[in-house]
Amino acid sequence: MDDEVRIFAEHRPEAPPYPERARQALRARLLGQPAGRPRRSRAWGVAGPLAAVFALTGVLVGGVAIVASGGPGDTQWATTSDLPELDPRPGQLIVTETLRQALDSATSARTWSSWYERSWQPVEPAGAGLVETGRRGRPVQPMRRPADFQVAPCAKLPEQARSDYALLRTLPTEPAAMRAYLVERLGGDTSPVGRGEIERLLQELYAPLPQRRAVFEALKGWPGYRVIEGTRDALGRAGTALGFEHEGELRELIFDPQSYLLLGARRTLTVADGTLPVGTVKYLSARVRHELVPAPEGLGGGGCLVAPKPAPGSWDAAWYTPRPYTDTLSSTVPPLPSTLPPPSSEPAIVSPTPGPGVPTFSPSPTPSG
Amino acid sequence: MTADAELIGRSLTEPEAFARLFDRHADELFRYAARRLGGELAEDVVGEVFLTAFRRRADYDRAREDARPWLYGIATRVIAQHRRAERRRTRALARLAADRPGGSEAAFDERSAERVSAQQLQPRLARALTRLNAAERDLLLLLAWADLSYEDAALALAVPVGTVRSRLHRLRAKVRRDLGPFVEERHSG
Repeated sequence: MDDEVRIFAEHRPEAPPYPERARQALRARLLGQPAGRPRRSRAWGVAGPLAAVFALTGVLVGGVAIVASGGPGDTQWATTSDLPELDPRPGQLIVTETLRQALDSATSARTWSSWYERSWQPVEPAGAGLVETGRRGRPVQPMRRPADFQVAPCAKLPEQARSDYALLRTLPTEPAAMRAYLVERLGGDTSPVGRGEIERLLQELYAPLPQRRAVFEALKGWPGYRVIEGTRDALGRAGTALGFEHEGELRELIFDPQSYLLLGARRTLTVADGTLPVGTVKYLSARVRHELVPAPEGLGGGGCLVAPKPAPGSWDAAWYTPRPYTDTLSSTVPPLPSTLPPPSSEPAIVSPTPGPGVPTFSPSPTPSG
Repeated sequence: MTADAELIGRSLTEPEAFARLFDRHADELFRYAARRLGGELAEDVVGEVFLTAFRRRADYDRAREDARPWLYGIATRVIAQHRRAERRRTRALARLAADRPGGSEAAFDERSAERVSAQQLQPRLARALTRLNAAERDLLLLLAWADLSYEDAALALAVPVGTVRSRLHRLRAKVRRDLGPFVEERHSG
């Protein structure tokens, strides 16, 4: 640090501690819980209570989400025929594409925030794969080619953190054994947070039919879950949902009753939240499609996928390495090797559609090779 | 410890995960804002920073595990809305130098650095701050009070690292003009 900077660092003015009253008020807002008003309302007057961020943006008509803007109205409607049975083989990547929509009522218009995620999972044990996230409201474009990726050497994943198809196809096919496996994988964390890891696995990965059926049956018998017929996902597809209630919400995993594929997920208020009535849908997702593509060369030999270098000025997607969802699992396995290129030394680039006065970061990865 | 990026990603579907990001960084952001604006305004700033961050979380680049540059970037924009309040506060701090016995610039220059107490130096630092433009002040304080690296400061300010370095070069020259004897003595010592 330069001396001129260090002087300021070493002689910072005294700062009072963050008042507990203000902290609790803001934290409660972040959790969407009722709390006393903050000391003054200036900030809230500008942005509105965070609880209102969760306000409903659309309505459900016949179980189909109709939204004001940015919702499924501008997406193609998928059917389960877009989700064929796959026969993954070594040397391939399983690509799944998911549409996610969350309530965003920061504005009076009450709109959905929609975004797509595309997951790239190796069939063979080869790292944790990659997930790319499209910019809000836009599909992830374009579809990558194997040559777009690089392969870098990486350490072998701990068994407990593996999620490749080669492992999934060996998992138990009996519900009780599958339940035991899931509990073990979650490090004993059967809380709703731990169940989030199951949702992640089901949504981002592809498992054979016997294992999918076993997961469905295992969850059906899991304490707290109940079966709900006819729940629709973000694309309007009806399925058989397994739901549990948590913190004023019904959280449903929606399965195709024939293929046991996870079509999507839905969260609905079971307790009124501020101005939001019971029954308000807060979150929807849907697997849009899945397919097999050739893996880049060298992946099966102990390599890991490295995210493609974006074209200059590209805003298509942000990449991340999927990680275990629960703290319990995170603490029982070593950190997963990153398959992302090192951060560029160049600056963050502002999104082409930033909010006024708010910086947003875009990916600027540079291949390490 | 779960990376910030993972918490933000998780908060897209489980908004309560964002509260953990808040727990992790709220104190630090409050202290930073309080040093610049005072405690009262800092409460508003922290509220606005996290509200904005929550609304914008889908745009966060989760390749960046540490969310501090992002949060400080938002804080910088929010604080910029309070420039007048910051100027008033900084000038008030700077006036303390002249109000104190022996606080004149000449007296400072003649004084050995070892004898300059922190209490006496802070008004001098505040005066130096008043001589920086807004962009220079933002950069200096992100480095000195938020402990960001050059790269992280560049992210926070959404400028190239090269711009950070050239801006830093200019502001160091200004600071050295105000605090020359102290800086040079530290350097040689």
